[in-house]
Order: sequence, then structure tokens, then C-alpha cells
Amino acid sequence: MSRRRRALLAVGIASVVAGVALTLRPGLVAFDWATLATLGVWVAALVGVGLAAFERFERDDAPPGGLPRVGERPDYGVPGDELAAAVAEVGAGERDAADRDRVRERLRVAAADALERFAGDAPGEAERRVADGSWTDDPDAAALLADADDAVHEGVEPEFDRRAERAAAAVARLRDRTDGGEPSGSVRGSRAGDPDRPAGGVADD
Amino acid sequence: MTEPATVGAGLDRGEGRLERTGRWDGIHGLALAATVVAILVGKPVAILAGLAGVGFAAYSRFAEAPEPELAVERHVSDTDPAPGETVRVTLTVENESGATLPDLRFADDVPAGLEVVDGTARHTTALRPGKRASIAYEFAAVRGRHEFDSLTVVTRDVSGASRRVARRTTDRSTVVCRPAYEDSSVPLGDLATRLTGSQPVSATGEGLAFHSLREYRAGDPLGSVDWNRFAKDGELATRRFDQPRTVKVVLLVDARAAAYVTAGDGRPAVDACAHAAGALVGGLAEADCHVGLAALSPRECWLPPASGRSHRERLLDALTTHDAFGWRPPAATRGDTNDADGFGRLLTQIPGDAQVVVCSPVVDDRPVEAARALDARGHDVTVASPDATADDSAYRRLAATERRVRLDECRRAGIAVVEWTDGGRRPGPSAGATAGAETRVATDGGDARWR
Repeated sequence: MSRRRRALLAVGIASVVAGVALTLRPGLVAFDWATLATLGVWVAALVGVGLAAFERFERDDAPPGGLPRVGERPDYGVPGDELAAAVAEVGAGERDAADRDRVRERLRVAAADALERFAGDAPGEAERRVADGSWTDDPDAAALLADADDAVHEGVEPEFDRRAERAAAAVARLRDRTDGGEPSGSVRGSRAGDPDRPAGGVADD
Repeated sequence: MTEPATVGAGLDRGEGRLERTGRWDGIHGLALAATVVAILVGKPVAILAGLAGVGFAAYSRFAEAPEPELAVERHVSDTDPAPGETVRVTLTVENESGATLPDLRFADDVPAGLEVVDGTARHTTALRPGKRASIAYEFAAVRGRHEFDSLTVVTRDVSGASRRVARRTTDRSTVVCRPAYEDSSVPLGDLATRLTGSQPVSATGEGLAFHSLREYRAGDPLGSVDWNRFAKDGELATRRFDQPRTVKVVLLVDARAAAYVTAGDGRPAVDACAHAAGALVGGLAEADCHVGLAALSPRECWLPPASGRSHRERLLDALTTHDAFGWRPPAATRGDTNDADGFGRLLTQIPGDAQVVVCSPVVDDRPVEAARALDARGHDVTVASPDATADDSAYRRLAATERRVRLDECRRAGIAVVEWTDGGRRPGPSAGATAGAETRVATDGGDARWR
């Protein structure tokens, strides 16, 4: 039996039942607004149930809502994104001053290391340049990492995220300037003839 | 009326649970409101409208999602594919429960690392008794042993008021994808065993090739005295000869959770490190080194250095299939965190006369600390580092800069660094000679005066 015929059969049976009932008991239903509203609610409910049943039994391409995502790689992070997320989470208010200091300290260390590695600064010199802001031409980046009165860092720091991003970019630019060149002041990891290298465990003759 | 984004999260194989979806949570209130309105307006017939809500509420309260009894068949088109090959999986589910399942949803548990490139591994349908539903999908093969042994099944009652979630075990289908590792090598130091071998390290002894002269010491055999020099200068000197030795190399692969990062291609750096280690296994074995393998990871992997074809196969098999180098990062370590990455244990396992090649993306300080600790214990250490950094944002460029600084810190400590690319190592300024070809340094008391 086709779907259409089944639907027509259901409508027919319902009509017959309603007709018999009204014949036996005329005036069973007074078609005032309350009756119509009640009928409307029931019709809506029954149509809803019917549509749901039709959806369940007849459709094969229903969306797999709620099922786990499969066939996709784990969402690996990209180096640097964890710092970006940390900066995005930190607020500008006094309550987040400690979190901001953690970010600031990490950027300070990165800047000092990069100055030693790429600009050839001595360790003390690199830290001094970061502290006095002379390590970069970017005033926002310099101001973020410069030594300042504690009250400045413990108070409200508007645009902290923008300054942190500029500081990160300024540190990365230190590398870009020397990219492809020899690292300044570094001792390459050559094996042979390295006087500081501990002797291996080769047996004497 | 809301549902969590993902059901079945946290379920192990064979586990299941019945959940209420909360879809009809507000229906009680609507039924009550309709009844109250009917009473207030004095129309008894309107109370029937409330009864509709009462019916839904009662059904949602007492209905339970059916417990499915399913027969599952899975067919995998190729269980030994080459990397990049597409493999087709066909999954068929048959309803054996004897009752209609009005809402059946299932998803094949595709192993981590495999990406579906065609079709879908999820399906929603209604299934009458004895009927079957099938799905088919294709994935691109990647390195590893991939076990298909479960699927997630969700059934609901007709109203959607409750659902039953389960991870059902199925017959196991195993796909093993073994990459062809290209042989490659890295600079090695002079640390060697006492065993005679073929590595021209700095040892001197009973060899044939002349190595150097040194001052005569009492007890030196007369046959080794350089009489020509004595005749010329009147000074006794002892000739020394190269003595090739056997070199042990342990490949230490950084497989901590921190190494599960990507440069944006969707592959974790651990995969690149495993490929680098696989290439080194071949290259070092070809140079007659004894090669071992270890994982810097909470998931223990240790194969002591040895030689031979079967050992080489064992190493490559471990790099391909061991859980430590899998596609899912290790879980956070509980309890003892003093040795969360197993490095303390490795220090007791790595032989004192072994050189160590650390394969790591060096995205944090830990690999540098490990390399320096090994160097301080007298091992010759080389860092082979695939680059997993990106440069499309300020913070990512900063991470790349920090990596460069860390690698330079290794170089400053006298540790050789090799920047590893997909095609093999990229010789940096520090990458001098490779195994068996470097300049040698006498370590037995001779000095430049006697070379």
C-alpha cells in the first residue's frame, strides 16, 4: 500500500468515526472558539507526531546530529597559538595584572634572548635595552616591556592585547633582520676540535 | 530543549548509558497553563487542549530509547596500503533486536590520524527488524597501525525524549601503513664502544691506516716505534694507527604532548620526527652503527642499540606502529610528575657509550634540557629538528624565533644541530661531516705537535 493510500485511509477512518459520533449525539460538539482552539492544539500535536514519524521512517539522509565527529584529525595547535590565546583571555583590569605580568615576562625573556642571538648583545646589555625600550623602534612594543612603576602595570592597561601582539612582532623582526646569516657570537656545534667538548669514551691504545 | 554537541564522549569500548534529552522539559508547564486558562474562562472542552500536553509529558517521562541488538560487518578494501593511498571502508549494520528502531544513529570510530576524504562515516536512519543499513567512506592512508574495532551507536525513542548511547565493540580490522623511509644520516661524534667496527672514530690501536705520532712511552711495543724519526731527530716516537670502532646510536624521538603541534598542514611534528628517525635508522645501520630507539614520552618505548636486519625491521616497525608515536597526544600524566616524559628512566637505560640523536621540533625548552643533560653525561648528542612553526601571525613568528634561539643554545653548548626537512636533513652550518667521514681527534694523549 502506498503512502498516499495509507494517508487517505487514515483520514477516511477518522472522518467516519467523527460522522458516526455526531450522528448519534447531535450537539456533541459546540463549535465555539474554545472548541476550535482545542481542536487546533490537537491537530497541531497529531500533525507534529505524524511528521516526526515520517521523518524517522522515510528519510535516509537525516542529519547525524549529536554524533561524534569522526574521520578528522585531532586539532593540533600551531606553535605560538597558546600565547595568543593567553593574551586574548587576559583582561585589561586590575584583577588580571598578574596574568598580564606573566605574558609580559615571557615576552621580555624572548626579546632578550633574541637580542643576544640575532643582534649580538651581551646578556646584560640585552636586558638593559629591553628595560629602557631601546631594543625596538615600535613605541608600543617598547612601552609594554619597559621597566615602569609597578602602579602602571597593576592598574588598568587598555590595549594590552594590541601592545603584546606588537611586541611579539617586534621580537620576530629581530630574527628577520638576520635571517639566512650566521648567528652572531655563537659557537657552532662542530664536533672536531672543539676544546670545550668533553672527551668521548674511546679507549686508548 | 538543547542537546550537547557530542554524545558518547568519554565512553570506553563496550560501555553505554541511557540519557534524557530534555526535549520536552517545558511541556508540563504548557499543559498546566492550558488547563488553567480553560478553568478561568469556564469552557470544559478547552481542558482537552491541556490533555494533549499531558500526553506528551507522560510519554516523554516513561518512554525509553530501545536497546539495539545490531550485527555489524565492516569491510576494509586494503589492510596494507602505501602512504597516501585511499582505502574504502564499508560498514553494514543489521537490526537483530526484533523491534523497530525508530531513530538509529551510528558513527564508525575512525582511528585518530585518518582523514575521511570521500563519503561519511556517520549515518542516521530508522531500521525495522532484520533490515540493514550501510555506509561507505574512504580515507587517505598515513603512517601507523590503525585499528577499527568499535562504533558509536545512538538510539532514541520516537519522541526523542531519551537516547541510549553506546560504544559497541566490533570485529577488529587492522590497517598498517608503512612508509618507505629514505636512508639518511647526521653528524656523529667520536664516542664509540670498545668493539672493533667500521666507524672511523678517533680511537687508535691495531688498525692499518696511519693515524698520528706521539711521544714514546715506556712499554710501547718496539714494532710501533718510528725508527726513521729516531734516526733523523734522535727522538723516540710511537706510531699510532686508526682503529675503527662500533658506534652505538640511540634515536630519541620527542613524542610528548608538546610535540603534537603542526605548522598548519594537519600533521603533527611527532610524525615528522618519526620519519626523521626512520630515515636515520636506515642511514646509520648502513654505516654499521648499532641503533636503538627511545621515546621522550609518558608512553614508554625503548629498544636498546643493536644491529642486524631483524633489529632494523623492529626499529622501523616500532616507529610505524608503536603507540608512543601515534596520532593522538599522550594524556596528561597523573600522580608522579617528576618523570612525566620518562627522561629519568631513559637516563638509566641509554648505554654510557652510546651517542644520542634527539629528534624534536624544539618548540619548548624541554628537548634542549634533555640534550644538554645527555651531553653533560658524556654522550655525543645531535639534535635533528623538523620545523613545525608557521609565520602567518605575530605570535607564530615569535614561536619560530624562540625555536631558532633554542637551537642556537644547543650549538653554543657544542651540540650539533641539523634542521630536518621532509626530504631529509638540511645541512646547517653546524652539520659538518656525516657518520664515518668526519675529522678525527685523538683522545689518548696525543696533541697537534705529533700529528
